[in-house]
Amino acid sequence: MGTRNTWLLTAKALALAATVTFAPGAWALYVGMYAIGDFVPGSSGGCGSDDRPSWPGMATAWWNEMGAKGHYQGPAANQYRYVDGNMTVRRFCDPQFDADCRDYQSSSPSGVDWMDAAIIATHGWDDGDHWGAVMRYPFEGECALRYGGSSTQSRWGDSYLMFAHASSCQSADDDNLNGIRFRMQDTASSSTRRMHQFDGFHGLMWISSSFNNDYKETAKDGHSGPISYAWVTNQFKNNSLDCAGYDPFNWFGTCSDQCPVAYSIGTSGPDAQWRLLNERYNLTFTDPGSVNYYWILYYEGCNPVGETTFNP
Amino acid sequence: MNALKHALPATAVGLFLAAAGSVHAVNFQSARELSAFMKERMPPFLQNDEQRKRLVGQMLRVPIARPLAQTFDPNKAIKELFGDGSVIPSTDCRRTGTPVGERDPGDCTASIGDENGRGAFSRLSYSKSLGFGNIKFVKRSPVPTQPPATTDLPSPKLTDAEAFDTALKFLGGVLGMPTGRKYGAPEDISEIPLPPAGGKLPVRNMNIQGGGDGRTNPITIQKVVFVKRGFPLASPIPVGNFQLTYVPGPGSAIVMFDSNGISGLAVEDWQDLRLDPTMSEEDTKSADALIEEIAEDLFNDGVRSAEDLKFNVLISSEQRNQIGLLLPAVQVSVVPARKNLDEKGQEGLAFQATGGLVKEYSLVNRKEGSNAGRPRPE
Repeated sequence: MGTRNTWLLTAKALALAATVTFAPGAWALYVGMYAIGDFVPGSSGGCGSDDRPSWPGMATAWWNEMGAKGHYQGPAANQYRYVDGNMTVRRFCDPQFDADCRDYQSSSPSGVDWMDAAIIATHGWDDGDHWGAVMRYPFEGECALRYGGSSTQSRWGDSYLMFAHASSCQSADDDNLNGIRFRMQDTASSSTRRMHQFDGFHGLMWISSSFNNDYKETAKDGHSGPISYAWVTNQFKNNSLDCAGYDPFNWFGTCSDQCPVAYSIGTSGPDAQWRLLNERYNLTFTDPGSVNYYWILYYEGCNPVGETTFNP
Repeated sequence: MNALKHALPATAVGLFLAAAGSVHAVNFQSARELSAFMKERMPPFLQNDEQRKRLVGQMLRVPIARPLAQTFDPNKAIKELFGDGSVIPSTDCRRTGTPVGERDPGDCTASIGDENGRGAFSRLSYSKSLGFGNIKFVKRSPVPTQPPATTDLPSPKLTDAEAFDTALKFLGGVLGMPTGRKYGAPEDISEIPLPPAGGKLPVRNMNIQGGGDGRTNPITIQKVVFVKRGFPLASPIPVGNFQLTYVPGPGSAIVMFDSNGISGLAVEDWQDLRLDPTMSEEDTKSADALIEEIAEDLFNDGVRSAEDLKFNVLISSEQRNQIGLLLPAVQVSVVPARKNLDEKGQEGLAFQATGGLVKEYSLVNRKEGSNAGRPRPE
């Protein structure tokens, strides 16, 4: 797959040295974002769905803070911040599935598996036993990113991706969790490289410019503590959405939650748990040895719109 | 073989469903249609001009406690959280202004340990200008060099009621937040509404669990208390069989407990809220103007479908440097789907707009007047 530009990384590392000191064994991650706010109607050749103009701002808040922490956001001519444009599944699908797929691509537009850490923001749904996500335009007739379970379209981690955040509805539904792990590797490409963590949502999630800070804090807290904890703590919304007009504090139980889920893999239960509770953006571990086990971090009884109460 | 081409039929079905309209959502072809949908769902008290005006009048007269700038003592918080007199705030804490004369919205920090290392680390951060209303404490244990022998983890021992009580006492007694004297705050005014008898306590468990073939029972590793800022209405607003007695304001707090006690906290956006002397209930927007404004804005934002719309009045703010001018507002939620959708219903959301949308709209017409909070070069 893609070979990273070593001199570029070295130059960036030197430039960062004056302001950022990473732990021994840690390095600046390549960080990318893929967000759609302006969806294109099918009548205009797009994949449809309603616009959400504030969505890219939420993902950008995470991406900007990652940059502020010293991580690498791409060369000037190819900043790894992809908003709208020709957002197709080609950036996310694996060449083992289709030879035209480019999840590993380094040149613009860089694929998701070129990144070490990435965030994807778009409408999603429960596509049977896995997450489906709306793209902006079709690629070879396909309008959806499909990840996990019975879908073999997208397999990440065989190149570089370690941490994926899905700012997308139903990206980590309770009934689809078991199948996520099998797409956190592509053993046909690499027998040793794997993703470390996949973070998403059970049920529907919410969009607002007032939520930008949640994404910024996710990036920030993922340096002082575990990424899983940063995701779940900052993205959880306790009974504060979809409330009846008389019940803004949920005293009468009318409100809904937003339900983040953090997900790690490992060769054993203790291994997966250890990774989930300790790995940070500035303290990454070696790749997991297998996808045999997975562990999750979540809020008990989380009850979102669009799904039943979280029950893994 | 081009595998993607085999996906076409499914995609076509999805697009057909999208074009045909979702079974869960109503589609809008115009702002007028959205407006009509909105009128069916907006609570009557918001559509009644007289009631809305009275509500705005009440919101402009809510009791506001002393701001954190007057009640938060960083040294007290540091002593309580670190238990160590050697931890001191960073040296740039005194630089509270920017070169262009505005207040620096950044944080002042006090920490122990190396954030980038493997060892234990704790950090208290708080707004340099506390009018911005942010306080955060993070804490981590040393990172083990290899996986543990077992997955056993200790759980917090507090009940929900004990956690809620302890959290409020810490927020009021240590951080100086407006919990009322009952919880150790420096004054009686409380900006933290308590649930009525039988109401749900805002306390949740954070769990960790092994899944798949290695499935384990869930382990609660944190108990978390969620606090929302709120202000009482002098005269409750009847809403169907219920009454609206409090309205939310800008600011929230969470306090986390693990088996050793407080393991983290975050106070966010608890602004120094001020009344705008130039604003009165006479500035309240008419129902027609409000509905038209919201419908036009949502439609222009691209909202073309919704399963429901929800309306919650709240006190928002117009940020002016380190203070927030109180602004009566309504929060509108575009709800894309129902609760408790079954699997078939969820698959029916394919290619639909599933991301819920939250936006706020002022209930009053803003006019020229107050210059409160505006920076003035020396």
